[in-house]
Amino acid sequence: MKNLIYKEWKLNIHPLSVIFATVFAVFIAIPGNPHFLSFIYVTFAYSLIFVGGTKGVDNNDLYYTATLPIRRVDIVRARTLSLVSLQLMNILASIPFAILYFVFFKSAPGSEEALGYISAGIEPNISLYAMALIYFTLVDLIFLPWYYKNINKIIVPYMTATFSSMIVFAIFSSVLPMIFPLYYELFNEPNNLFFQFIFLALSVIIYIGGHFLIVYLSKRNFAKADI
Amino acid sequence: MEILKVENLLKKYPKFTLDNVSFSLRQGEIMGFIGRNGAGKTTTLKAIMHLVRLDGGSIEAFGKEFTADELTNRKRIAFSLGGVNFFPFKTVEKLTEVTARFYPTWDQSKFEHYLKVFEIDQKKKIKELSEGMKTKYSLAIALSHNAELLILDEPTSGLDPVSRDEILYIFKQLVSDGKRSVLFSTHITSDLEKCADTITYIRNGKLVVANMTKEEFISAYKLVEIETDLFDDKIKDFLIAFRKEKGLVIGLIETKKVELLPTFVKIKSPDLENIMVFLEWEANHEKFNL
Repeated sequence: MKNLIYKEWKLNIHPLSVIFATVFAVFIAIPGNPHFLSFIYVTFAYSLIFVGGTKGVDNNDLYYTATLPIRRVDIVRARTLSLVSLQLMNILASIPFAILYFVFFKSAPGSEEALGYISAGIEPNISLYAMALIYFTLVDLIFLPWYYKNINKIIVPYMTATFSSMIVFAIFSSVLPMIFPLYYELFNEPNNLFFQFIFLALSVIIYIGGHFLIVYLSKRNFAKADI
Repeated sequence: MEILKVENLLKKYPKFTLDNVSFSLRQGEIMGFIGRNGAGKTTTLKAIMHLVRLDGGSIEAFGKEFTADELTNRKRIAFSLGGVNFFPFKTVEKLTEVTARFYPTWDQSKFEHYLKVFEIDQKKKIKELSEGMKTKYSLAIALSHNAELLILDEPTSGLDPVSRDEILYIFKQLVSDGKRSVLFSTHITSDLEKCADTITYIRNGKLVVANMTKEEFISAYKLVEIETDLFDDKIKDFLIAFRKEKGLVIGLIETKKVELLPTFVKIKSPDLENIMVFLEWEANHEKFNL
């Protein structure tokens, strides 16, 4: 397993994936920008990992990996761990920018009216991070078991997973708060911090439990797949 | 000792079935697994490595069920799929550094020795290696982790005659100590003439022959030559397949049926290519009946 993870970082994870996971986290600090977007780019990096590099060439990774002395389940585990690491990297990289948002923009004089005017949903707070964890779980839950069921087809599962999950994320983080003031109050305002922490705790459970389920389903499908 | 035993492999695809494929490979032996493109060679080799899931049959490696100790078996086997480029933009050095980690028996000095012998530059990217070099690189990897069984899919495909000869010579060197075995698929019959100890021949997913020596295989058939005017339906019935060219009918017959032919029929010894071509023709006779 250790060797497979090493292989993932040495051969599979393209530097651009790390850039998607970290540099794009800066978007969370931009006022008026839908903050959920900073968590989207990391899932765009999946194609670089699963198909190949930026030169449009397939790395034939699965053919390479399948010939190594390893078990199929470890292939699934290592790849899921790679994705999880990129997601967590994305979350960690965004935290300083989220703090920056509150320290510089939110506390600036006149920001109340300005941010209120240009608000694009939930601010980069605990609720948004909880929703991001659920978003990542949803993408992986749709994509990975589907991909490992039919390894020769990646575009349909990948596009379906990212775009449908992104739409769900956008609705819950940017659309609903604009339509329902109570929803905005509950997920965004500091007076509901307790509720937001409960929501975060729940999302952590969903993220961890969800990824165990994802590995289980993917492993089951991959065991039946022809390479 | 049987190093590999394949019994009644069955794999069904919507338009193709690998049907009860059985053969075995002994230690120190080179087996040529021959068949035309699409005959089922790659599917069989993948099935041995459990890359495709079987609908039936069993595989034994090193005297035990393959899946009983799959990880150990995989360490003892070197498997390479022809025509596949792994990580074309990575260097030989980088790819090897990762690969070596998976093999506890990896011998780096041995690997460097083979790279020198095969004249492979570690700094080159995989895409910069010629097809022959890629095959040699696979062999260098296999030898450096002391693989006892090499399963190679079309290692000579797309190579020039000199590179092909080099690869086949390396195979012979590999098995010379009697400890290693090679199973390689090919559609080039001269590969078999040069280095295979035994032949297993697959056609449309079914075995035509298994574990036969070259000599046994060749002696099982004869070429016949008859002037077109003398060719009749009685002779036709004895032949596996035939074709007419330049006033002659040339065909293939089983050796045991030769004595049934009239004396004016010329009998010749075929080579592997003749046999394969006529056997394939038998299977597709309608296609050529223009």
